[in-house]
Amino acid sequence: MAELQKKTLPHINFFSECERAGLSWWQCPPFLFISMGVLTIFTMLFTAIIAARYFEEPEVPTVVAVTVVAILFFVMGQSIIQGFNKIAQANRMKTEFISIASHQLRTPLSVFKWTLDLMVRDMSDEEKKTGVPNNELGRLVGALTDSTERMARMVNALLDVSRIDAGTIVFDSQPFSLSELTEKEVANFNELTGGAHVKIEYDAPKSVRPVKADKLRVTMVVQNLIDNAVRYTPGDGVITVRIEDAGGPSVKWSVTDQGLGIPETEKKNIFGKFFRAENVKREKIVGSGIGLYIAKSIIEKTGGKIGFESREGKGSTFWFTLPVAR
Amino acid sequence: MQKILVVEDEINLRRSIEEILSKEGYAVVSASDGEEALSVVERERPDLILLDLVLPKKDGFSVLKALRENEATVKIPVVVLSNLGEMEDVGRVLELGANRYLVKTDYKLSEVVEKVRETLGKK
Repeated sequence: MAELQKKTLPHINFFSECERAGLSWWQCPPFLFISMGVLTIFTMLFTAIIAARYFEEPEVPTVVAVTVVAILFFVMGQSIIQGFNKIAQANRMKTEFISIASHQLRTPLSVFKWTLDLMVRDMSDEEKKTGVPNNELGRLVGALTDSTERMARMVNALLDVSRIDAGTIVFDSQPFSLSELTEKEVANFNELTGGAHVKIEYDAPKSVRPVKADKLRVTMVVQNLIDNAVRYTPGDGVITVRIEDAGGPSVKWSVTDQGLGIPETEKKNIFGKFFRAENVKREKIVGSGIGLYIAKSIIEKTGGKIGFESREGKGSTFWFTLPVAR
Repeated sequence: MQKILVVEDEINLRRSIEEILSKEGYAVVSASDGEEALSVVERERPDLILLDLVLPKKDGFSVLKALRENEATVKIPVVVLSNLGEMEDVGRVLELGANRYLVKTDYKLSEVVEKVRETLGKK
């Protein structure tokens, strides 16, 4: 059936999604909807023609036609419902799989984390005794610790994705200083990228009112947006992180880079789950495509807004607003 | 010396917590499943329990429930240390009467010790 469609209607590909979801043609909702439409039109025409031509009482063929169509619609409707259920079930299984896999990953991750904690602790005891820091071992343990932390953050992000999809994500809501948080993160990034190609500047008024949101998750968003700005700036560049507080009901946070920018055709998908733009894939920049998806959900569920302006080849500005704490 | 019971079935994790707690000057006893946990509590009367949730024989939820239903153990502080982190689990555990809920991958060992100390201080 898909082959036939490819030959006859190559530009309307209503089977491809169904094929990917493992649905046969008689369960494929787009096909069934179109068939129902065609069936309705033809039945009406034929009934009218036949009734006018051959029957004294046109009610008889009309009632027969309506009954037949109703039965066909009922059967097709069942198939459509089954098709949708199958798709919904596949989606739910995928979400559950992410959740189970992430929880399973947490146990070995805890072992890494705590064993490394003990090594760091033992090392500093030994260093205290001899007064000589064991630099090589320290560097290796440091590298492992950093990677373990990164992996733990990734697992937490994946769990957040599955919570967002399942609608079970719960947010904390506390007043905190967005400027203090940002200043700290900018300092961390500048330390990490120290001597590298980019420099991060921080621009904020002296006093910024505290906001009310989930602090840990907003920290994740801030880290993610700065991290994106750094990662998608392949050459030299200045990244500006700015906070504006114009006295309204919310505070605006933004990060402006001089990086790759987002192609016009891909702008509408940028907040989609696991989405990655073609130009960043071309540049072989690593990323998972979940950061912005989570960011959007976190900011919007907290009562803020999130958005961006971008020109390909020139750079991007990503911004969000958060409600001021009262 | 204050005595802490570590209930954890993953041997590497159990050893790590035991090691750091004894270095920090606590007496440590341990159990690797839910039933053993309850019998150790009976025998040793610890000052605090670090409790995992996913355990063989009897899970952490049931252990916590049994501890809170027993007159003799109702007051022993329980810090749940688990990798289940859904709000449903956290809510259920706090409702059953745990004093704290820590997600293992989110805490360093030193921070776990810090929380143990804080909880004992509050007692």
